[in-house]
Amino acid sequence: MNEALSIAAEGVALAPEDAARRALVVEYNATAAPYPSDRTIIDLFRDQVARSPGAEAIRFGDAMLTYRQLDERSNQMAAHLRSTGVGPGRIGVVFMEHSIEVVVAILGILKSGAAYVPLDAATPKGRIATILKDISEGTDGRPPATITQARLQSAISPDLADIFVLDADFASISDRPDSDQSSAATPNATAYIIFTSGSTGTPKGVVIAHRNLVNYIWWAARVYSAGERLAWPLFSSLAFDLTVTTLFTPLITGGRIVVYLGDPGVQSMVVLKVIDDNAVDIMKLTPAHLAMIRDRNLGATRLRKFIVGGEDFKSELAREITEAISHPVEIYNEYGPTEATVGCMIHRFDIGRDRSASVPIGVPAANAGIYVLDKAHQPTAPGLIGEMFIAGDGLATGYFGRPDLTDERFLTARDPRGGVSKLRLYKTGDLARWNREGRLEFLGRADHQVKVGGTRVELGEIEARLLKHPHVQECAVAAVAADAGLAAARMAEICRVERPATEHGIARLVAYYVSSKPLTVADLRAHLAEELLEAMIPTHYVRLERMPLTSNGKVDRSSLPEPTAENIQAAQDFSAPSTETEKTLAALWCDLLKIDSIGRRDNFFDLGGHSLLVMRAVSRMRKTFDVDVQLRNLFECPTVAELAEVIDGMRWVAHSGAPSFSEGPREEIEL
Amino acid sequence: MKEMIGRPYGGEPLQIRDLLAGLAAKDIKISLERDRLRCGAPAGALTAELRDQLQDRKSEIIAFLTMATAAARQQPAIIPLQSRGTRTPIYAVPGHIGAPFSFSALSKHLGDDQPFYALQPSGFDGQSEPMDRVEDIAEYFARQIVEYQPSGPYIIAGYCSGAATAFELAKILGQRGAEIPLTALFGPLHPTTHSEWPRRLYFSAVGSIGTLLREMAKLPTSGARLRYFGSRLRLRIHSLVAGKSTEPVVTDPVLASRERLKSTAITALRRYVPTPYSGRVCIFLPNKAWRRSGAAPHLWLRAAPHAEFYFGPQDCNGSRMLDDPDAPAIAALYRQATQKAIDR
Repeated sequence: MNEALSIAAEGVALAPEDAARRALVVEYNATAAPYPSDRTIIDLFRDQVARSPGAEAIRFGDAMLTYRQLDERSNQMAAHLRSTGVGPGRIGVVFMEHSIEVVVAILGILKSGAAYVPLDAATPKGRIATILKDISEGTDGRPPATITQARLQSAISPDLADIFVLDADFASISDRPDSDQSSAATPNATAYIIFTSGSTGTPKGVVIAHRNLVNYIWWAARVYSAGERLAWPLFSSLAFDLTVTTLFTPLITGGRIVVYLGDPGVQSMVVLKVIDDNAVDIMKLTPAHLAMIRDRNLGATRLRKFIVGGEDFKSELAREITEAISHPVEIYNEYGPTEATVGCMIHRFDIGRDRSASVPIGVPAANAGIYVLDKAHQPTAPGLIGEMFIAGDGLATGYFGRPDLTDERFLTARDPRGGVSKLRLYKTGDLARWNREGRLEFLGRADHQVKVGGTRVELGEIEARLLKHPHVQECAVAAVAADAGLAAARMAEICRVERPATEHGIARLVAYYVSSKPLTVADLRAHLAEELLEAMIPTHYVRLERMPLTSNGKVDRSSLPEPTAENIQAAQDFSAPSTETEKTLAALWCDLLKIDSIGRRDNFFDLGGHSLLVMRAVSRMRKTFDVDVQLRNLFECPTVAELAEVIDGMRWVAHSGAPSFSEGPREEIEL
Repeated sequence: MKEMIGRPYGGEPLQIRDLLAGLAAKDIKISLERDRLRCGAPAGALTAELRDQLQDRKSEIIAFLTMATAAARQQPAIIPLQSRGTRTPIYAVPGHIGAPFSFSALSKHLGDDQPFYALQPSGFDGQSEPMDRVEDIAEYFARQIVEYQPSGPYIIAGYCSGAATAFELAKILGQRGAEIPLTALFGPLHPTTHSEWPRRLYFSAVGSIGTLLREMAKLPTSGARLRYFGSRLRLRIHSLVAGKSTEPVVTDPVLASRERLKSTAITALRRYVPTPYSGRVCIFLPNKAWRRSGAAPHLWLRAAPHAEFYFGPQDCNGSRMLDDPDAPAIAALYRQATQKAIDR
């Protein structure tokens, strides 16, 4: 089936009285559940301190703090911050490596009534400066209090922040009173602001209130901890909201945080430390991180629960992990943008029932509403693509200092469940549709589109299809601009033709993948072509040993290698051009299509030849071979070998009509 | 020593084209006469061994020369987008840019059993001269089609400004006794819309205003709508100001020949006056709103009073109705039209 991704038009919505509407919109979103909406996350932590003061709250190597000690340290931190003017309405930036102190700092900021902004220790200086300026502009021009460590201090400009170096200046807070002071935080006050990448390149801060956080953590505690005191590893980036689960869920359930610090340069490998250390029961991580531990010996692991989020989660990976662990494990797929407070949908993987390529994103979390809406913000019928909108108690306050963006992404629209009341909705920018079984299918980003050969292409859709290949474990598809490079030089050398002006803006799709065994391009193409439009089939395929990851554990698209002659898989099992005509033709195409290597069985159209390029190819073939090559020849014989044979044939016909060049008598025979 | 023309040292037999190239270097000419080969060579060049080799590989040489002769005598206007299938073949005239690939998506969605040939106008290849009368273009296509497929039935199609040529082509072939079960006009421009600028302005304005209104409707507050409107306006002004100064001069020969073909095709369309045609004509419009567009599709009823109209989905992009994602819907409409003829 071929289909293009576009959000359903107006006028195709489910009718108000439709049974499907009742099931998919009303009943599906009947998620109301009680939670302490009048309390802050600090209140919940203090309750836990009272319940288990002597229990171990956090450990890093041999160092540990009990709940009482953690409470006292964070009280001292809060007292110090208050003395410097940090309090309600203010922001404390945390720019620290993973440590016990970073948790103390976060709790201290929250207790002071301020909100915390976590910055990853690997954040580039320029980005830190942008965020600090942004905060300063949004808080009356005052530089934000910034807690850091001596090793990281040089990355912060003193003009932009009021710096407190926690390890060097620890003595200054150890004299502070360690007793409780009533927290100045309120349920509506901001708990944290997480800066995420904006489409314009400027980070945007998502403002999460205590009520949002309490709603999520209360639900997460019930679902994941389920009354147990579990050990959770703190290893993922604090600037990634996925880590919020690991930070607060154990602290309100009597569990333990076990801190792991990555080694410089190989931060993403820290996940392997967690596995090898075997000191935790539950782990929250991205599919890419989970894929890294797949090959570890998990036979004796104490891990019993995995919460996976952040990216598309392939069923095959969930199956492999389930089978690799001898005791029963719970694997959860949690979906949610930062703007809806960490997670707002959940599905528990069932090895017997989950047969689709990706683990479903499931059903809404407590007090969350999930809607798939058309362009008029009306619920779509099953099978039609819509955009996902989220409602409920997890919705962020908005974007820090960006009322325009907040207006754009947080809408107030008529309640999709019916009636005349209005509902606040977050426009996720994610595409989804209801399948026939009433399950929600996640289809990638609505704005993750590129234009290739004039056709609008959804990269997420290609990735989703590629992941359905039984042997593809991870993948990423990128659009790259073609580069003249080697190909043009080679063409000039072989054909001695004048090189044309560089052709700009030829976009090619490159599929990067990790697979359990070598795959041919023909196999990958055939798999993709079953469901995708021709324009969506990538031109190049690059097999990687592992995907490059960001500090958040997501695929780092900016670190994907440039496609080169060395790493691109040949379109066919490569068969080098053999005759002179084939060699010249291949070089000509290489130059035109900005590809470094073309085999004799490669197809001009599969390599990205379209529209104007076709005409340029015909024009240049005519000039190079001095025969009347027509567009028709290229359509009928699109491979190098086929077309070269036609060209040789045309040259033979031209030669046979020319007068003889030798003198003297001639003889004729008939065969 | 035995001549090694047919076999390189210790390797596989030479490909026929290499063998023939070797003969050409010795001024040995080979021509095909039905199922026989005629070889002319300088006296003494055709040794006994060489004759044996030619005799041994005669069938391969004949196959190659047959292919080569056919390629040299091909009908350049016929571009086979899909040459297999049992249904009545479609011969389709592209719009004024003359790009045969504009039918690629439609052909694909009509399936493997539907032969589909795009027609390449004279002048598109950059070497022949473009024609400036619709009647001449249609006559050229008619000759090429009959050479390629001597007898009908043929289904004739045309897209945008190519619809006028298709209409004339159907008439010419019909007058010469060919069966034309259907003439399919996709988003046809009527020649009376020859005034290029007003039409382009109309389509550009309708498209831009529609997009602007849809985007503004999504915004929650009037303030946000106003800001959005302001940003679009600034962008528009900027592009108008910057656009003129950065306009590249067309020096590329392919682009230049395309421009020439385009302007000649518009001239041809302006001159054309459709005359009555009694064959079956189906007009496929992107959507119902298109009836009121500057394309004036209803004017075709003057020459084809019984023309049937079919409409694509409401959000079909008019200017790209034959491309994905709209191509499947238009292909379905076409099948509906052909089924209707069968049901009658």
